[in-house]
Amino acid sequence: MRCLLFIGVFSGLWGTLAVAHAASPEVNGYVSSRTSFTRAKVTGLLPTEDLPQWTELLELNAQLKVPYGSKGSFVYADVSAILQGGIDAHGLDAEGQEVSLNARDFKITQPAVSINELYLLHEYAPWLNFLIGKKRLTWGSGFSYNPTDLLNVRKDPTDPTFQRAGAWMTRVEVPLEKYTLTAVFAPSVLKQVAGLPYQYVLWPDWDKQDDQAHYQAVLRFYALVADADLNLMLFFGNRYNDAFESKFRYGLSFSRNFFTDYEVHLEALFHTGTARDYVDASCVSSGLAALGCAQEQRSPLEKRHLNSSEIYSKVLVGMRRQFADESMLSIEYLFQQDGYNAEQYQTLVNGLDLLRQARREGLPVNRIPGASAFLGGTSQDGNPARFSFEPQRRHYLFATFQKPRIKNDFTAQLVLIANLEDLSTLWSPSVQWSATEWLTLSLLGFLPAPGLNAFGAKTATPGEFITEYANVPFRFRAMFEARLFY
Amino acid sequence: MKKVIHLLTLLALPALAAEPTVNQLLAKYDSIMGPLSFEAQTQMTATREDGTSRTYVMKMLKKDNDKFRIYFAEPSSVKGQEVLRNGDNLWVYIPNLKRSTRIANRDSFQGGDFNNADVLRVNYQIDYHGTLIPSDSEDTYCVELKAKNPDTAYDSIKLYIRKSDLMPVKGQYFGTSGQMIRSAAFSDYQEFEKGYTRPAKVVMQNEQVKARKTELITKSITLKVDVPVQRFTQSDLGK
Repeated sequence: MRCLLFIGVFSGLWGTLAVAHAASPEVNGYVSSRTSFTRAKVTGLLPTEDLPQWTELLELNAQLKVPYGSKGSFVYADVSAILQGGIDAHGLDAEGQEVSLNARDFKITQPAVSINELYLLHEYAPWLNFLIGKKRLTWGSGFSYNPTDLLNVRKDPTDPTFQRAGAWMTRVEVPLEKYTLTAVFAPSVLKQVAGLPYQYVLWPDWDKQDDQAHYQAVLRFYALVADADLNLMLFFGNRYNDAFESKFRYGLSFSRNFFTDYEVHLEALFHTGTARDYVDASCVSSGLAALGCAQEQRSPLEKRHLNSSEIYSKVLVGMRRQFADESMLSIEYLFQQDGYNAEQYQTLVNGLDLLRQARREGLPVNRIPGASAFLGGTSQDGNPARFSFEPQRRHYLFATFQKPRIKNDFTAQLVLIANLEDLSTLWSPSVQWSATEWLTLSLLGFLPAPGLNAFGAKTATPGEFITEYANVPFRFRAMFEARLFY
Repeated sequence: MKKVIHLLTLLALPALAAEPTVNQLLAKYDSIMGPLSFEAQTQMTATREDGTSRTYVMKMLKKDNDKFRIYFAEPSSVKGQEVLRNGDNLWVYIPNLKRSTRIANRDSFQGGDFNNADVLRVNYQIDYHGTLIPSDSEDTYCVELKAKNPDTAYDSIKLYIRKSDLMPVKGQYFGTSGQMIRSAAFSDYQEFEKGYTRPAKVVMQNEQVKARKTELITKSITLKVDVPVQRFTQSDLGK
């Protein structure tokens, strides 16, 4: 079935493009192999049973652009076929000893198609164009993280260039010399198989999870004023990637160069209420309390501020500078008002600690209401993420330093993500070698550092300190990537 | 004696009258190297310290004095990348990022020895004050240019212009310290359109790392193209 889908998608793309009245089709893409080793942290709060230590990901990417009609109209596709597999997951046995779980059937061995972008853009006139399909739109000025990005698959801040997948939408845009007005309607993809969507907006009758329409609508006004990029965004969404219903949200972004070489930017999102899950402390105070909640079929997670009238903000400010030797430094600070405070983070850790105890006791953790939400989830859409950034606290720092040509075609980069409350950090050094004009080899590392115990939460037993980046299911990760462009 | 002097003065007048002013020289340079609107196919080859090189194929679009757009076509690893100038603003669109970010005028252009302003901001009349100074050759004028604002590529430039046809011959480019950073050699003068001749080849030599140089070749150029102003907006990048 999946093979047929692969063949169907690619032959469909080629067919569409062949039928189109092509002026001069452009084709390019790449073949990529990523081999990674992740040293599992089996004693941590998060389960590692589904985390193979060795993974291999093969990606065949094709990007096709076929202009037609007037000069500005075209059909575009950016599609990846992905095959990945993993071996050697580790966990704990009944005696608490680390064991290999080779016999497990890992879900990630399934092939998938990632339709990163697939759209038709028709330009009626230079000042009016219409787009339908899937496209990654990023209006915000943030480099590592975009608070106003409510549409796209989340990107990996340790490698913002990795995630290419956008959102399905229709878009009308009126571009003028200094201003642009954009209207977008993005329906939620509710059902898909192997990355191929087949149900939008409403749940199908055979799996009616609710009767609501799931969508996000956006109006965006862009202005180039005083040599600055200014975006004002108005969102109205209903159950689009979160639990908000009929919700207005307001976004803005700003970017400008100061003192010729310093790019300074700000990006912010404002809304009333928050869709964040908070842990019910009464459900996680002890094992008995958790059992009580489970018996009542009461989830320990609640969206207690969903309909709050309080205004919540998510603000990112940053600067970027390229130096004379072409090295680049980017520093950004993120504030998210709905992040957990110390007490709320402690209750989250309490819940995770209870789940860990339940797993060790051999209890069916997956059947506990809310357990999967506790452990977080990953999007089914887009490329498989190297690192999933879901900030839990309120204050973060991102820093990226990149130095090209440390020797010939070698580029070195260091990315740091820091939780400024518990001072835990994630370091991601990498070296990239552009061996030829068509081959790039990269070696990347991911190294979490626990920060200061005094600022972390503490588990009940055995009384270990937990900080955000100490609470990842691996001790370190190393990855080698070969990308061949064509 | 007076009659002789008078006669000599009369003889010298046509020559003096033919001597172009600095503004005329700069206007001519700008019209050659940065015509008001054009579409060009170009190729840039950057030679690095180790002797290896990288070649890029680009399409360039220019409109008015302050709108410029570049589309990279080769190699495959940068295909789809775009650079845009609108006024004093520069952006680069990276296909893998699926978005544009701002860049500065003095940043290196695609890692070569040109910087962004060298390619995207060829309007010396607007950006520099010029003074005629003695040239190192009888066949050339030498114009010394001083930057009017910090958005320019260099703090000063010495531009050598051939007397016979006012074509640029060489340039020397200086940083804030007064040290020569780059030097350029203009050659392969070709008439791309009737009445429009320009050097098809510019070699920019890195004067700080002598093994490095970058060659920019104009393959074809069409003047007075009618491009909508929307092609020079940030919203159009990557479209």
